[in-house]
Amino acid sequence: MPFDTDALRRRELLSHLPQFDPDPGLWARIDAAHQRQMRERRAAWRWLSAGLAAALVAVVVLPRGTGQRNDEDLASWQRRSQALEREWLARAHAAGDTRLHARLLGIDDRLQAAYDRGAGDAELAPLWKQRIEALDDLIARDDSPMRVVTRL
Amino acid sequence: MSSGFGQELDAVSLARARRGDRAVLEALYARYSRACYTLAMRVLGERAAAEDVVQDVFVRVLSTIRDFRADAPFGAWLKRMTANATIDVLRRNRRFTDEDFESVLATMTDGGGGESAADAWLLLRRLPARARAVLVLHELEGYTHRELAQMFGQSESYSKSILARALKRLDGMMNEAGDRAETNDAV
Repeated sequence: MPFDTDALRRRELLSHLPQFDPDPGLWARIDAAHQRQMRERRAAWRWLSAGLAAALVAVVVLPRGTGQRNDEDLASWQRRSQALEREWLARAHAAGDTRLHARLLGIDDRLQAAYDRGAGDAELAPLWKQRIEALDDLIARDDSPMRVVTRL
Repeated sequence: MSSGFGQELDAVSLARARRGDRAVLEALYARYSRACYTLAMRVLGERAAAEDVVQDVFVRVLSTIRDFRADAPFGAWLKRMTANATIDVLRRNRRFTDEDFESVLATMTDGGGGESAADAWLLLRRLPARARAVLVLHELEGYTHRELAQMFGQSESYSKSILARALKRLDGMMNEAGDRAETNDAV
């Protein structure tokens, strides 16, 4: 088998390749980079924990908060409805459209029935909105007679 | 021909390193940093780039040594990380400048090679970076073409082809250098 002189020379050459030493200050830089990385990880972990806590609060507390907002919405509709009703009663000088009165009474009946069976905000809110619209219509006509409206 | 990754690490030191013992970690660096740096330098040929590789590798070692399972020797694990980090630098298509030879010479540790070490280094530097990488990893660090294919994300034939061309070119350069030396002697 013939000698592969190129391979031998190559091997010889590669065996002579030098080794290199890194800068003496490199370890200090590595150590500092590692410490920085650890600090960043701890900070990221704190942010993550805070994010998880916020998410937990959102899941647990937010539905309650939403309920409060619904309550507030419902209360504001009730207040608006009652204000319109006072306004309408204060006018009380014209003959009314009986169809509008019947509409208002119908809404009041449905509201009363809803309260009686303990209906939730989702059912009550549209009824209060309808009541506001009915009262708006009555006031707009400005000719309705004084009627006793169920006070809710 | 190993550039120092073959050094053994005893179980006690490894256990202490896993626990984050800084003195042991520093000793680990002292023992293996030359091997890492040499590999990166031979492939990249640029001190700053090679130091970045060593820094990346050792920061990763410090972060992950706790999970090192010792299925393979520590040196082999470290060598693989160094090789991968070096290939990553090549993949980012960095253009390496030919660093001033004299300044690189200053960081060489003369293993008795003297002038022939400098000559060998000069010849290696004339190969393209990828060819150098395949040559160094295959011929000096002992990786198979299958392993190289995996590291480079290419086929085995890619690695074989690069190596064949690199060797041919190296042989050509050695012949040229030999011819020049003969001519000079004759003159």
